[in-house]
Amino acid sequence: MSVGLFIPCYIDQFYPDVGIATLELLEQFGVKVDFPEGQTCCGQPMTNAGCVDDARPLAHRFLHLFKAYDYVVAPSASCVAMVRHHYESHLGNHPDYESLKVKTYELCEFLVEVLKVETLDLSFPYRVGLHESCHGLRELRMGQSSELVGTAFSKSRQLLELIDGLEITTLKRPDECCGFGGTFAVNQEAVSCMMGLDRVADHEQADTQVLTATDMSCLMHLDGLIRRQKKPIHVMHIAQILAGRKPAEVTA
Amino acid sequence: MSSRDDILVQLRHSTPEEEAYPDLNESWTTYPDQIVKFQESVAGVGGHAVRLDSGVDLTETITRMEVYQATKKVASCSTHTRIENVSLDNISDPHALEDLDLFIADGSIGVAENGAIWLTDEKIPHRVALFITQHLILTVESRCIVHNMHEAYQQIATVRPGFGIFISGPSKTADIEQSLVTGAHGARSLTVFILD
Amino acid sequence: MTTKSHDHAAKAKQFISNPEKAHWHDEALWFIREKRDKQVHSLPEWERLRELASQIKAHTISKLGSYLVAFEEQATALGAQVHWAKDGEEHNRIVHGILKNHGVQRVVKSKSMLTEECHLNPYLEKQGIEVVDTDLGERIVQLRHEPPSHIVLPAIHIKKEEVGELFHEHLGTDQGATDPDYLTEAARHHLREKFMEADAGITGVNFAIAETGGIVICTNEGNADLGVSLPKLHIACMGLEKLIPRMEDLSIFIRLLARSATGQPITTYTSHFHGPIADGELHIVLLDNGRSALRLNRAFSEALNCIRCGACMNTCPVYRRSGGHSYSATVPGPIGSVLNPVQDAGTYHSLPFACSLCGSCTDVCPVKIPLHHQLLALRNHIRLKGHLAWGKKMTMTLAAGVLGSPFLFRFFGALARRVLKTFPGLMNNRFNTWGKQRDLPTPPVTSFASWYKKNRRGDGA
Repeated sequence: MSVGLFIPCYIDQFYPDVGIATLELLEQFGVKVDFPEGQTCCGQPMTNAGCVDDARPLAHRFLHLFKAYDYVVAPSASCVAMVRHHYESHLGNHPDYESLKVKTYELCEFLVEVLKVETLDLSFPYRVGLHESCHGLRELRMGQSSELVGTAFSKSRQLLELIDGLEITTLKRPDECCGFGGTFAVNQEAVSCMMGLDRVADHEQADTQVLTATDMSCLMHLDGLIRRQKKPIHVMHIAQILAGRKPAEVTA
Repeated sequence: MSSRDDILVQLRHSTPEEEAYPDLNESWTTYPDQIVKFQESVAGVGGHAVRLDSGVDLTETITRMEVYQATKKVASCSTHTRIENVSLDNISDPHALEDLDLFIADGSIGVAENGAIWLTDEKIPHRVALFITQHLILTVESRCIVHNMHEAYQQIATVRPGFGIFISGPSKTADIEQSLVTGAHGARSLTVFILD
Repeated sequence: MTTKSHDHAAKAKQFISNPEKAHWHDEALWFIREKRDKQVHSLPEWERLRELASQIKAHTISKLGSYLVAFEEQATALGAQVHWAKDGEEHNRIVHGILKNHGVQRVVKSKSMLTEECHLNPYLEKQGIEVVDTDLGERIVQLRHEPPSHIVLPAIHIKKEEVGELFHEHLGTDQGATDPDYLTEAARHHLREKFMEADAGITGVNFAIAETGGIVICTNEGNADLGVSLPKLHIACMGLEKLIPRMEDLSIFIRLLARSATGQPITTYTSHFHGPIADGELHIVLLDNGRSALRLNRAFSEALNCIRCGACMNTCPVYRRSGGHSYSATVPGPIGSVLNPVQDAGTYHSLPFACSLCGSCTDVCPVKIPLHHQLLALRNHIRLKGHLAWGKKMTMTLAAGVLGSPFLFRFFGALARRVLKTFPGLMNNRFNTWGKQRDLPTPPVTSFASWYKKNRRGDGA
């Protein structure tokens, strides 16, 4: 199988190690990964700001770059949600869009559903707080959101549970939004930061040592708050944990 | 053109495609013992459910209640007990029920899932008695207790002009800092007698 | 152009400037969300109920005209009088007309967001009619001369100390008293007098049944029933969308409503009115006020499913931390952030942006309105209507320009990283909103793309 790797714009520029960890992780499973040059952004910032037209060329670029691969994998639930749910108005009539929707995966989804990972030869003796990102949970349905009635499941949790010594902490509010929300983080700064600080406080009471998620956007916001507050919580993207990094090696 | 005409024209214009009416026949939650569940549900909503064995006199049971002993004015529209010193039949203005302490009426259906009792005002000359009374007693026959609202509505099939109500527990509010207070405007207490 | 009075972000900031109160408000509403969760998780068929409810609503709205005519026919046959109002102004004139014909001077009103939408109270008061809101929370905000902040819990933003002060002033309760039992008892006596004196009762409508011509009203306090069982005149005000086809449909909706709204299995009173009380009159006023237009707007018409339960408000992390008044609208929260801008994008354009797009509202909505998707779509709608700030538009067009070109993207990305590394203090200024409470990420030396080029390209991968 050929896998095209999509690295979100802000990860490419500000958190390249998350991309490197993703690549190394997939290679560990023997996957042939290619990073097509010329990729930039999925168009989420524009769409979220109401400038849907500005996202159109980015959607077309994405399709053009990735349509030839068997799978497209990204370490970002929100970007994948954009491609699968919000490209309709840009690419709806395009013959390759249907297959793009079906073959674009967030990293944990890919590991669980396609690679069917059932063991991980890893040790991570830390108390890990799992932040279930809203896009992952309520768009991609990578887990059961607490609002819905049904069997509980979570693909990211499932993978973390395979790791030796890793203890997932218990939060008071298991899946409340961190408050990043894109431009919301700046346009509604007061609410955004109160939401984020409340998440941090929840992790503190849960005794979280390492905070992780499938989305670096959430983590960038939470990490910014944690560092300003000088809290002793390390922030790591789930790709970094799964790829075998340790907290001390990761400088956010 | 009246507003009615304007609105109906707007509603008929460019009608969205008609969506099908769904089939509501599904299997809904039932309980191993709907009478026990009903009692639990009544308690859960702040009421008090008592199962009376057949042969036990309802009037006698009521007279021994603390709530009855404190009352001055009691009225009954129940066929199971005529205990009363105020008769709704003899009243023409419902305002006269302002000082009603205790009112007794019969429910025709009990719903296990939520402790609700269905009754109509067929036998109640002034429906306000249900709300203006300080304390309320309702009866329901044990064979009339159903599992859920689907079963209840199936029975409320023939609708007659008038008034029907599900009452679940006493009047309540949590409008002051989410503290639950019983007896907001309506009955301060609800006692349900389940009759065999 | 945002007027200060309708800018959600500014009002939210003000609300949060008292963090203690904001946290208290947040916890109060989260508590209700938890009660809701407990109730719904006890019903394995919950998701099925939601699905059926949304299908019933979709069906009803698609045939709304014929169902309304059927409802009118049945209700009239039962002796009720049905009136049609195209907007709030006409609604108020109709209601006033009925009251005037009966020489009404004192009205008691149970909770009706629709009458709030029409601003009925001030209209009637101007005509010399006393209107007393009898729901306890509504009475509290009425005495404080402010609008409700939540459609089900009108006084959720008010502390018991404030209620104590209010009741001391208006009801003569003891100074400094805060016990909810004591205060509620005082309100009970005060409102009992009002029920006894009332000439007419006005209510809202939770559900109207097309097949039988009946209306259903749900309360916990019993105030609606008291209000319409003493006086002989009952005026029931409803939006067109409150209609459901059959009595049987209530089995679905009644199971959903209270569980979603307050975490109760059912409200204390679920009253079914078929025709007027003996020797009395029942007037049903049907209000359009934009509903028939919304029905034709396919992107947002599902918002008509709304049964006004308030569950979206209870779960919304933004509403909980900013309060209902920050929305400057009769119906606040997620559903209000759809309904208001759809009708008036100019005034309410800040509302769809008062949202982190978390989707929790969509997952709790008992009638499955895709709220967070509608809020996202509304942002584009607002831009198309010309209400997006020029600065915002320009920023996005520029960003799209940079992000659309791999060369520009890498160039500006590298530049930003280099500048931030060299001048870390550059971002510590009052223009940097991000940096007020958050540190910026430490800029790395290389981008992923550069690393990949160096370490993997031509590596036979």
